[in-house]
Amino acid sequence: MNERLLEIDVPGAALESSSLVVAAGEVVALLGANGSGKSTLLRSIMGLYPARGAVRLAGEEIGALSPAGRARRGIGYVPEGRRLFPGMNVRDTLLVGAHGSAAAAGPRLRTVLELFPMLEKRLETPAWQLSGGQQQMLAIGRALMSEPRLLLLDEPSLGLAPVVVDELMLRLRGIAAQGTAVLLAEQSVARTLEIADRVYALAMGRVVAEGTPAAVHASGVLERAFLGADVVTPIRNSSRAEEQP
Amino acid sequence: MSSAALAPTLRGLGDRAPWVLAALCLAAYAATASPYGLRVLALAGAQVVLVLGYQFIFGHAGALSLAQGAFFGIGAYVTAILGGRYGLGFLASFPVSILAPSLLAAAIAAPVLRLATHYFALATLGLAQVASLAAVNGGAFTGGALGITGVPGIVFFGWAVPRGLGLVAAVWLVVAAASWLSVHLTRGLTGRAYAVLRGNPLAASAIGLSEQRLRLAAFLLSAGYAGAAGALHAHILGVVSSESMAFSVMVACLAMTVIGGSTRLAGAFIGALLLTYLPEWLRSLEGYSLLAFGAALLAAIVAAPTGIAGALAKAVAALGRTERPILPTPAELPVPQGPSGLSLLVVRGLAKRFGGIEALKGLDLTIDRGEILGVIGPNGSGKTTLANLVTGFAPTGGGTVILEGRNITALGASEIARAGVGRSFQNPALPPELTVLEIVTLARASLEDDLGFRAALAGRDRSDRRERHEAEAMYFLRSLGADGYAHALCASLPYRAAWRVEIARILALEPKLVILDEPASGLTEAEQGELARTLRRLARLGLGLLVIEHNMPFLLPVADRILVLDEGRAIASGKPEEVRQNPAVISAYLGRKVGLA
Repeated sequence: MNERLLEIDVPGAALESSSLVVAAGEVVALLGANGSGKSTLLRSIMGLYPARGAVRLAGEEIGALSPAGRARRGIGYVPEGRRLFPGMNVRDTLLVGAHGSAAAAGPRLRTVLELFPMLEKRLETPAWQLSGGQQQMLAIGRALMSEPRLLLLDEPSLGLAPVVVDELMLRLRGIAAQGTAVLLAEQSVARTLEIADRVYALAMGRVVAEGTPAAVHASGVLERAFLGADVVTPIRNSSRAEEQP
Repeated sequence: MSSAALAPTLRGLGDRAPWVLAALCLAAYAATASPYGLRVLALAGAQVVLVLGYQFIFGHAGALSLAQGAFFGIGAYVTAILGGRYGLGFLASFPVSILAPSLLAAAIAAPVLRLATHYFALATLGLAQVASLAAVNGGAFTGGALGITGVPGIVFFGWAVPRGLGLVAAVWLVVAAASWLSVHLTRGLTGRAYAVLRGNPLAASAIGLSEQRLRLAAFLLSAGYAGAAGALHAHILGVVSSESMAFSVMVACLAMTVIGGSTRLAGAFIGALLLTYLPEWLRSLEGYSLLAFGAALLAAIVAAPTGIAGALAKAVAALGRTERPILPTPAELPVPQGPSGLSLLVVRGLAKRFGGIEALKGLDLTIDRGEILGVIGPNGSGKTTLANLVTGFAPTGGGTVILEGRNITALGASEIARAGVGRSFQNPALPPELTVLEIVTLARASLEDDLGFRAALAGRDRSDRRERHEAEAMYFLRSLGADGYAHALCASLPYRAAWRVEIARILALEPKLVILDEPASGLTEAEQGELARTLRRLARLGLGLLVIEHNMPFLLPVADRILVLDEGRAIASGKPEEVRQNPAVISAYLGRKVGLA
């Protein structure tokens, strides 16, 4: 199993190494206020926004690859705003997400429909006729269909009923347990802290803290980051601080 | 005249200087031109009028009409038949040439304007084909394939305007009148209202503007202008045939509009003159002239994607010092009057069906003044459908919606917005190319019926009225803490500011009921707290609020009452704490954590 499935250089003097790392089997959360740079970071991993430095997937430099090339290397992405094809029905949208591996598509489709039973009743419904929350489920389901090595989710809980969010968060843990690396940007701090292995806190496009949810929460940096204070004092690598006796 | 009053006058002269200069150049050229040159100049004038008209539907309303060439041809034929065959003078034939295509446009508008962009293009193309076939097969009436010859020049009360310089002067007088009208109609707030329609039609409806009416007005004007241009064309050439409404006329008009600029007055002149004269200049290249013509057009489009006029305006703006925009002083507006007797909103038996899915199955609800009703429910339970039906953004499939005793069930979205129901959308409905101040100002102007071509003709969308609307808009922006964003473009608005602008836009229409669809989504907890305080403040002012939300930590403390929907039905309703402990609600929606928290 790869210890450093994803590595991306990020600005942030506070970190010992200036890169954000996600290991296989890990759920990592990006937390921060609106405009703190979470979406931009996800977009630059996907190649939709120029990265400031190197981006490595399983040791391979992918900075020169197109978004499509990165998707083929095993990155799944749930963008902000869902980005569905309005006229395409639920079944086709999910099958397209499997990237053409027809043999695998059947069982994966079943897995996704198990996660979102609501979509099963709507298989023939075009995306535009779905409610906002159902569209969000479809966007997440489409990303899962490729069984990515690395799954990027931009605010996956937007528009979902609380009970569905709980289920989704549990499933993300389950997906990670099978070896997928999960990196998600979230606004709902409490829920995210519950399921994440590690957290990066962002403010003004920079990483201001990194560590276990407990350590980052205890450091108080989240309150400052979310209140949008103009000057955020960088915190020394908080996961290390925790390890010290 | 005081120096304060003198300054705007001088600035006005400064704005006009390029026009005065251009007119002088044109006059100088006309005075020295050959008879052939005069003829080309007159024809170019007719093209300017054609393009000015096309700017209404294509540039302002943003709809690709392919009937402009046909309207031009109809205008030409009307003039040829009335003038050539019945000997009517200009004063009789010209108005009929304008009226005939406008009437045709009005007749086909009802079905055609409802169509989405590319279908609208195809429908208007069909109309153009029919018109062209009718001209060729019209027998003696249209002269068949040969057309009508011997169309007289412009004749006033029996006095024929001499061909040559006289005709050029007459044509360019019409150009001047058409320009004056065009500027008058579009330079005020009405022009910006069309920018809303182009940028975000939902936002247009939300501020009480009827998409249909705006498009219809633009379509009629474009047809009228085309008819006038066709009439001039017939007088100049003396011959009208089916070539006058051939598809090439339409293509040339489209090219002139795109290359010149689709919304600016100068764009019509630049496009029409350039495309009329360029072939003349390139004629010396003989066999290569078409190639050079094509290359020049391509270069113009690549170099100036917003048209040459747009590129020039940008260059002038970059050269000139950028004046720091001054924020209008906020107006003081009275607090809305207190509650009256009737219930604010009463919904009975509201139903909606999408194909096989029943989104709402006969829903009843009431909202009182000063009350915040939270609506929750699983995804797809019908929450947004409820908002769409109450606000007229989708037609109901049964049931009634009564606002303060008035049945608003059958009204359209823009009428309901003006009747006092404001709403937000899951994605903020803000037109990207307008500033924050503009969209809220337009909402104020819409409330007082100061938008549209009729209001523009009466001058109701300019000067002091506009200033008053801006000051009032600032009042609403300031009360939401968004006055700092007044001059920001909606497209560049950070998410944390967008909700403030949305609510300011809603409040500017002085609503009685406000419907918010997932207002807290994407907001941090600090911002959610601010939003909650804002909603409480609105309720204290006597507004009723219907808030759709999944975020329970936000909604439960702020709502007076919660309505729970599941599969298009109300499954529970009551105080937040009752609903939170309702086992059916916990299992269907909340999950154990929120329910028992």
